[in-house]
Amino acid sequence: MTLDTLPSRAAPQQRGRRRLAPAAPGQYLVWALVAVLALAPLAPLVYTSVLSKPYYLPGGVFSMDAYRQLFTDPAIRTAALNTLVFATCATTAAVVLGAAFAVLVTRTDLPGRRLLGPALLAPLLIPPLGLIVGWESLYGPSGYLTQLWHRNLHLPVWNLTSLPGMSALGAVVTLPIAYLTCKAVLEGADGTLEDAVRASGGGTLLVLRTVTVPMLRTALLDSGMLIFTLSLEVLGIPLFLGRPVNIQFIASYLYDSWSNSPVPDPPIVSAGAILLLVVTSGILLLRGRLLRHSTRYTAGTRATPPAHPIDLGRWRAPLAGASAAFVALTSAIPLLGLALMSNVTSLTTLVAPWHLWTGDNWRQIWTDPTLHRAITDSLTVAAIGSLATVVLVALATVIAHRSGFRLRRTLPALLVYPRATPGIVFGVGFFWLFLIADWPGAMLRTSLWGELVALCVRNMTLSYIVLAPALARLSPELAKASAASGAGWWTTTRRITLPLLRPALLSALVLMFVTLISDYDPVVFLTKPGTELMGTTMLQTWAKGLPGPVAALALVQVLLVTVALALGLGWTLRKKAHRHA
Amino acid sequence: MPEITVRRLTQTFGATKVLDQVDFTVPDSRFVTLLGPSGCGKTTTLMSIAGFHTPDAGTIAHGDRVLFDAAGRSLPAEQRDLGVVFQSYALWPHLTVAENVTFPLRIRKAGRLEMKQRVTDVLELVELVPRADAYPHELSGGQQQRVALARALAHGPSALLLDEPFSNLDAKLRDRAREWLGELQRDLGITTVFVTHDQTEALAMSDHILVMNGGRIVRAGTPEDVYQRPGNRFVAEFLGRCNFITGTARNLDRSTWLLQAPHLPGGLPFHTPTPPPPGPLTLALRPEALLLDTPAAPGAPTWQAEITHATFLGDHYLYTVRVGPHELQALHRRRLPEATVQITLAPDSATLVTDDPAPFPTEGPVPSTSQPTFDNVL
Repeated sequence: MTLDTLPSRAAPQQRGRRRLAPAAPGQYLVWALVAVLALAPLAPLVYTSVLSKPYYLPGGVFSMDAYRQLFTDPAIRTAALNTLVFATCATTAAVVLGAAFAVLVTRTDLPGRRLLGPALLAPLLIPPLGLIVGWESLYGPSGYLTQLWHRNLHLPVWNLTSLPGMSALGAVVTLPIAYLTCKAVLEGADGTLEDAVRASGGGTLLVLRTVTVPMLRTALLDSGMLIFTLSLEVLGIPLFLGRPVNIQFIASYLYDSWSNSPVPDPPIVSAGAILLLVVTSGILLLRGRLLRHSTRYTAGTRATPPAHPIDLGRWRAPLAGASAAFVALTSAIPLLGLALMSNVTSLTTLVAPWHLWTGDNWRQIWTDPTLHRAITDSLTVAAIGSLATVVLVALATVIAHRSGFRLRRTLPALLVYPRATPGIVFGVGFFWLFLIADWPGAMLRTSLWGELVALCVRNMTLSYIVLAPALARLSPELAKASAASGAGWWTTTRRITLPLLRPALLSALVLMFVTLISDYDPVVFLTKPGTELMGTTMLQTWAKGLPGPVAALALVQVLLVTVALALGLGWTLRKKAHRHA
Repeated sequence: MPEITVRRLTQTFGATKVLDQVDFTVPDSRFVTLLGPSGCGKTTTLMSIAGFHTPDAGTIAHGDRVLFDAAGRSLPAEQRDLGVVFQSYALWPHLTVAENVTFPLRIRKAGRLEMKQRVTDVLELVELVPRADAYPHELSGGQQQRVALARALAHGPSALLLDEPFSNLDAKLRDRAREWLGELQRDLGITTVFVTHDQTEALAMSDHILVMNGGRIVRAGTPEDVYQRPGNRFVAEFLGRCNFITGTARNLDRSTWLLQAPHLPGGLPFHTPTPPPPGPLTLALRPEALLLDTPAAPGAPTWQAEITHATFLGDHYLYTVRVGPHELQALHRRRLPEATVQITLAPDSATLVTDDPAPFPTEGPVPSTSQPTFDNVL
C-alpha cells in the first residue's frame, strides 16, 4: 500500500451521489404525535365541563352549572376531606418509612440489606389491584388473618376499611417512591462527610442527626409532594375498600357519578376532573419551584460511600426481623392470600381451606368469554402498546436531547405531563375526545385501540424517565463522530444512538409492558362490552361480589408481570455474562 | 488537499467574546496548531470548522466550498467531508474496530469490495489490522486513539481536525503517538488543524502555530519563530519559562539596539527591524539563553550573579540567580558548586515583548493587518 495514495479516494465525486434525507420533517412528525396525544384529551374536558348537558344530548348551552353543582354537593366535600386525610396520612407514613429503609439499606450493616432493597420495590411491580385484593382477602373486615386474630385469638382488631386502614395500604403502595428518591441521594452523596463526623469524635446518632438525615431533606420534600399528588387520585383503594363502608374519595366519587348518574356521562365529572387536574398540577408546579435550586445545595464531589457502615449493634437482629416482617406482611403474604383465594370457594377460618378447594375460579376465567377476553385483550394492549410507546418515546427523547430541532425543548414537558395528571382525568378526556373527534374517534371508541391509546399516552412518561437518564450518560461526541463521518440525524439515531441505548430500551419495554398489564384508571370510562381489559373487568367483577375470579385475574396479572420481568432480567444477565466472557 | 480559510469568526455570549475576529488560513497539506489555555476559543474555532458550532459571524471556506458564511448559511457537519478526531475519541462501543472504521464508507454507500480494501488499508496505516474484530473497550488508550484516527481517515477526507487527541494518553505514550501522527500527516500530506493546550506538543508537531487567548489569535508563526520571538508577554510565558527585563533602549546601528537596565552593566543587545517606541521596554530571555560559567562571546555582557536556588530536572539544573534586584532563571547542564557565578548572554537571544496581547512587530513574517493572518505569514 502506498501511503500517499490513501486519502486520494475521491470524496467529492461521492458527494454528488450522496443524498441526505432532511431530518426536520420526521422530527416534526414525532413532535406533533407526542404533542397531540398528550394535549388532545384536555380540550374536550374543558369544553364538556361548561356545557349544561352531556355533549351528545341536543340543546346543550354554555353553563357553569357543573362547577356550581360540584361545589355545593355535600358528598364531594366529604369525599375531598377523606381524600385529604388519606393523602396526608399515607404520605407521612410512606416518606418516614421510605427514608428509614433507605438509610438502613445504604448506610448500615443491617443483615440481608442487599435483599431488602429489591424486596421493598415489590409494591411498584405487583399489579395494584392484585395487591388491594390480596390485602382485602387477608386484612379486610372478614379477611382470613383478621378472623384468625380476632375470632380465634380474641385480640383487638384493626379495620382496613377505614381511613387509617386505607392510608396504611396507600403508604405501602407509594413507599417505594420515597425509598428510591432517598436511596439515590444517599448513594450519590459523599460518604466522607459522615466519616468526617466520626473523625471528629461523633457517634452513630450524631452522624445520623448532623449529616445523613439533613442530606435527605430535599429528597423528602420531593418524594413527599409526589406521593401526596398520587394519593389524591387513587381510585382502586376507595373502590375496593371504601365503597362497602361508604367512604368516598374524589376519584371514586367521580367514578360513581359517572356510572350511577341518571343521565350517562354528566358534565359534573368533567368539572371534577378539571378540579383534580388543577390541584395536582398546582402541587407539581410548586414542587418544581421549590426544587428548582436544589442542585445548588448538593456537594459537587464524587459519590463515595462512607468508609464504614453504621454499626447497628444490638439493634441489628431486631431491625432485620422487623424489615423482613414488613416485606412479608405488606407484599409476600398478600400475594399468597391472593393465590389461596383464587383456589377456594370462599376464604374463611371456619373451614379449613383444603375443604373449600375449587378450580371453579380458573375454569370461569377460561369459559366466561368476558374474563377470557380481558386477558387476551390486556396481553394485546400490553404487547403492541409497549412496543409502540417505546419506539415513539425513544425517538422523542433523542430529538429532545440530541438534535437541533426547533421545538425540542417542549418535548420533555410534553412527555412528563401525562403521568403527572390523574389517570381518571385522562380517561374522561379521552372519552370525550373520541366522541367529539368523530374521525378517528369513532373507530377508536368502538375498538380496543382507544383503550390502548389512553393507556399508552398516560404511561409514556415511564419510558421517558428510563430513557432520558440513559441518553444523558452517552457522550454527545459519539453522535458528533457519526455526523463527522457523514451520517445525517436519522442515520446517526438509527445506527449509533438507539443501538447504544439498547439496555435502557429493554428496561423501558419491560416497564411499559408491566404497567400496561396492570394499569386501569385511564380506561375505566372507555371500557365497553367486547373490549374488556383485566383491570376494568376486575373492578366490575368485584362490584358484582365475586372475589374468586378477581383473585384469579389478579394472579394472572402477577404471573404475566413476573414472566416479563424474568425475561428482561434474563436478557440483561446473559448480555452481561457475554460481555465478561 | 484544499486549504481552509477562516475569516473574521466572531461569537459572543452575553458580554464575553468567545471568538473575536479570528482570521487565519490553513495552507494546503500543512499541519497547523491552535494553541492556548482553556477557554481561549481554540476548540470553539475547531468545532466551527467541523460544523458542530455555529458562530455569530464570519466565514469558513474549504477550497472552493463555503462551509459557513456571513449570511449564516451553514453546511451541516455531515456534509462537510472532514475527518474529526474527538478528545474522547468517541469510538462507538457497540461496534468493532472494523465496523467503526467502515461506518463512514457505509454512509457513502461504497461497494463491498472497495469498503473491505479501504478498511484494510486504513487499519494497516494505523498498525491495527490484527485488532480489527476487537471492541473499543478491549483496546488500550493508544490503540483507541489510532482507531479514532483510522475512522476519521477512512472516507478520504480533504482535511483532518484533531481536538486534543493526546490528552488521554500517559506521558511516554504521548511522545510516541506524537511522532507517529506527525510522520503519518507528512506522508499523507493531509491538511490538518490540531487543537492543544500543551506547548510541547504544538512546538514538536506543527508547521505553524496560532496562539490564542481570550478569543483572539495573539501570535502566528512557525514553532521556532513563535518560541524565539513571542512578541508579547502572554505568548512568551505560555510557551515556556521566560525572564523579563525592563529598561530603556539605545540605538547602536541600523537594527541593533541596546537595552539599558539598572544593575546590568553593559546592557542587553537586541535586534528589531523597526525602531521601538520611546519609553520603557521589556525584553524576553529564555532560561537557556542565560549562560552560567561559560566564557562570554565577544561583545556580550557578563555579570556577577548569586545562585539562590537550584532545581534538579533530570537532564538539566534550573537555577534561580540574583543580579542586583533581578531574579532570573537559567538552565545549566552541570551542578555548580559555588554560590557566585559569572553569567553571560547567548548571542541574539533577547527579544522585545509587549505587555498587551497585541503582538509587537517582529522580524520575519509580519501580519500586515491588525489581525495576524496566515496569508501574510506565508
